[in-house]
Amino acid sequence: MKPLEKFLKKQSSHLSGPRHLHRRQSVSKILPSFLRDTPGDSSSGEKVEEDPSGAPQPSHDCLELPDGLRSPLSFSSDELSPSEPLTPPPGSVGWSLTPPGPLLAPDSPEALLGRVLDQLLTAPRLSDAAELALDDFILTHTLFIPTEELLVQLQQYFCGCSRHTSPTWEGSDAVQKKQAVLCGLLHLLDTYKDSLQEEEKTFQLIKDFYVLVMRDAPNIPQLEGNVIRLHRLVETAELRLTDGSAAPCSKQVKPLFRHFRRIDSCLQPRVAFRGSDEIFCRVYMPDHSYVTIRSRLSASVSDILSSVSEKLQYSEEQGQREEPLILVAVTSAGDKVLLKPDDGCIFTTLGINSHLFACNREELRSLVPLPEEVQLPPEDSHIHRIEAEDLANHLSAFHWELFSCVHELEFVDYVFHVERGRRETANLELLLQRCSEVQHWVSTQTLLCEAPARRTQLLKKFIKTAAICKQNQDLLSFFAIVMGLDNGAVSRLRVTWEKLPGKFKNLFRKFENLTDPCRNHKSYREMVSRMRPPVIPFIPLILKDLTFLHEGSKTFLDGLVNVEKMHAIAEKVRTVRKYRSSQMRLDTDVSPTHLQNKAYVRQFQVIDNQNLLFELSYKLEPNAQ
Amino acid sequence: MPEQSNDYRVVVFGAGGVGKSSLVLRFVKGTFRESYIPTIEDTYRQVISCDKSICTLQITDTTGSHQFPAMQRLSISKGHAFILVYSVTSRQSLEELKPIYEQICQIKGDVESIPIMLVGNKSDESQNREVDSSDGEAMAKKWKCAFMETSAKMNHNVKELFQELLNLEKRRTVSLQIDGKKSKQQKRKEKLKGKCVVM
Ligand SMILES: Nc1nc2c(ncn2[C@@H]2O[C@H](COP(=O)(O)OP(=O)(O)O)[C@@H](O)[C@H]2O)c(=O)[nH]1
Ligand SMILES: [Mg+2]
Repeated sequence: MKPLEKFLKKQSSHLSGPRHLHRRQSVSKILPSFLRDTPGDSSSGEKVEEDPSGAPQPSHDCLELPDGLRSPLSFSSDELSPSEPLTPPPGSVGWSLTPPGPLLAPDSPEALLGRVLDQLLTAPRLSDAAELALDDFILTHTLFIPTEELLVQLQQYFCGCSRHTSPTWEGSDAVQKKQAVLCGLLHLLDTYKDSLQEEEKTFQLIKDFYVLVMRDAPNIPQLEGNVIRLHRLVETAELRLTDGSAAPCSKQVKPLFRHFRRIDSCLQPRVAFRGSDEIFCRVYMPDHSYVTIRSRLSASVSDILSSVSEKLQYSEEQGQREEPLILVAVTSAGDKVLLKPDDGCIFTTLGINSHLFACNREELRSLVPLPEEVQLPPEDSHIHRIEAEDLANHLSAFHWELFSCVHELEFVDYVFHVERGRRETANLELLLQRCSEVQHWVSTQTLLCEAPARRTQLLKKFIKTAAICKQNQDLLSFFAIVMGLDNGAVSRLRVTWEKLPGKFKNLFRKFENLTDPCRNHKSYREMVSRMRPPVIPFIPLILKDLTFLHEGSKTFLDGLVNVEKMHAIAEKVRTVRKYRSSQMRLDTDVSPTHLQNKAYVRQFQVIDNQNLLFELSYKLEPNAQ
Repeated sequence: MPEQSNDYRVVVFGAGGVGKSSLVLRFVKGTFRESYIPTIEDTYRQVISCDKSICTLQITDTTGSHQFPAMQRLSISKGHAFILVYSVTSRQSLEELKPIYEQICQIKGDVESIPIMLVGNKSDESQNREVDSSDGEAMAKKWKCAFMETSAKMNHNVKELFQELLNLEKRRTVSLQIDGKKSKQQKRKEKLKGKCVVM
């Protein structure tokens, strides 16, 4: 298996695994020399600007690490080329990097907030540094202070009853102070965007705060601009909330990506999932009977189980005697993961062809995958009819839709939920799931194609598709296709590959090079640094980088917030912001074929059982390699 | 696990609240409940005999509303036999079966060779009866299908309904009785009897 495949596998196995699994310790290596080169310098092409504020960015390519210090960004052992020396994990040592500008010094969460506000006293004309500090603080605050606590403190500042003292703060008048607090609050609300109303307690605090501000507003005309903005934000959030709950029956149930297939909905544009959204989900019994339940996306395992028991009339007649049901995710290969009653938001973490089963504890061993997951899907003819260009454009368009649904904060939450309890990262998880789906689809299609000449044609088509995706700056599809072709079961088909024209062989070699994880994905990072938005990045790498940032350094140093770490994390998130700072526009034809292709691309039938893929491969070319 | 192609698929249609789920659950699990939980789509499996060997009876319980036309089309095209349920307490519910029957005709073509059972449920509710059993019979005659009145609540005619339906299948011999050796599933089911496991 290619290293990158393992890499992705790890991502997805992490996804499908139980939530409480401990993150594997990362093994870092001695700082490689390339970390000190700035690849950007050598590039002549256009770049995604890494930072709008003009401050130098601490993205790995440009990290200035003193010699001898380990980079927290390097990869775990199996992603390194074997010749590179390994050293133990960075452990608890905080790593340092040259601050990319006037970063605030480490401080307690409360004091840090005070100093962020100090810098906001000049609002509405803020210095770049002030804006950056505020953005860093808001994007990462959940790591060191609960949002509710933050709101309470902001409110105290607003009322002038905060304990914070500093010369700048003392020297400013009340209006300036209130202006600064509002500026901070608005930035928080802007960052939350559409998910503002999702957390009930937080939203209540925001509304209380809002009432307080409105009471003050008539006396302080200077606040008017901000007050109007605040009013709009709170009002729209409130509207979203009542829209949803006032008529729960009429609220549309959203079809979940894989786990409830609905033919008629796949052409609708994807909108972001929220925890309060209702979805349909099938839960199977040991004999493959199933019930479809309607559930909140964020429902806990015990909520799901009680819906199932209710449907099956467990409760009414045999309720007392019945031993409790358990919920198990079963993969197509028959692997089982027992889900814990408190686990929430599990739907989006299931593997591609995994299904949920409810059973008694003693039935656990007898669970087998559904027959449709064990049988081979028929060879599909659509792939042979669709042009590479259409395929690529539909993939990119869909992945742009999915990428656009991911909230900035999901990136932070995904990496840190282990410590802080789970928050909603459904849209990010769906995107990862999709990445894995495309990868398996490429392998599946190639291996299901029995005619050798057609199979070589198919390789050509996939390579061409990957090339166009790359042109579209859709690196997610690009990676997924290349990794699908790199799957051991496909890459061992010597005869098939040999018949490929030299031009395509060379192109594919180039692509493998670009997806090569060696030297911390140097080739990829260079490529992406030359692109201007819109870009669909290879998301797993962003998550990996965030994980390393997180594991490589402590959040608190002697009780003080590690501001550098927070800044580095925020920088990563801002990269995503920049990738999406302009819209990806691909042609929107509405001919029937176009719609058929669009529907085809949005949900693939795939085999995600590697053993089955190898079986197919051996049938096609028994003696290859 | 029996081969999927070996499955005999029965689909239950009818307006919401007429007692489709109650009939299915009464048949599959022998239980009845007063409270109403709307169905989206559930499928229960049972081992039966078919042409002297064992096969799986798949009973799909559908939603009453026409919320999911694509799903409805799919279950019709995959189904081998159909149960069309109305409630004898609601004339409206009998009317609502018409479009479903027409859709079955449209998708399946020759409906005479397909087992279809028209069912008037809630026969226990004599106080509130709106549809006479002769009305049901007349409709069945028009539709060239079989007819039966049932009560899921009183467990009246429920097992008979399923057996009669299978008897209508002329292309193979399907029966609820399993002769000879019991399947593994059947044994497990017996072992777990009283534990209320859906099998
Ligand atoms: N009296 C009576 N009530 C029934 C009978 N069958 C179902 N019900 C009740 O009718 C309601 C709807 O039943 P359900 O099976 O959920 O209907 P469905 O929507 O067609 O699946 C429930 O409250 C049941 O208790 C029956 O045979 N007699
Ligand atoms: Mg029902």
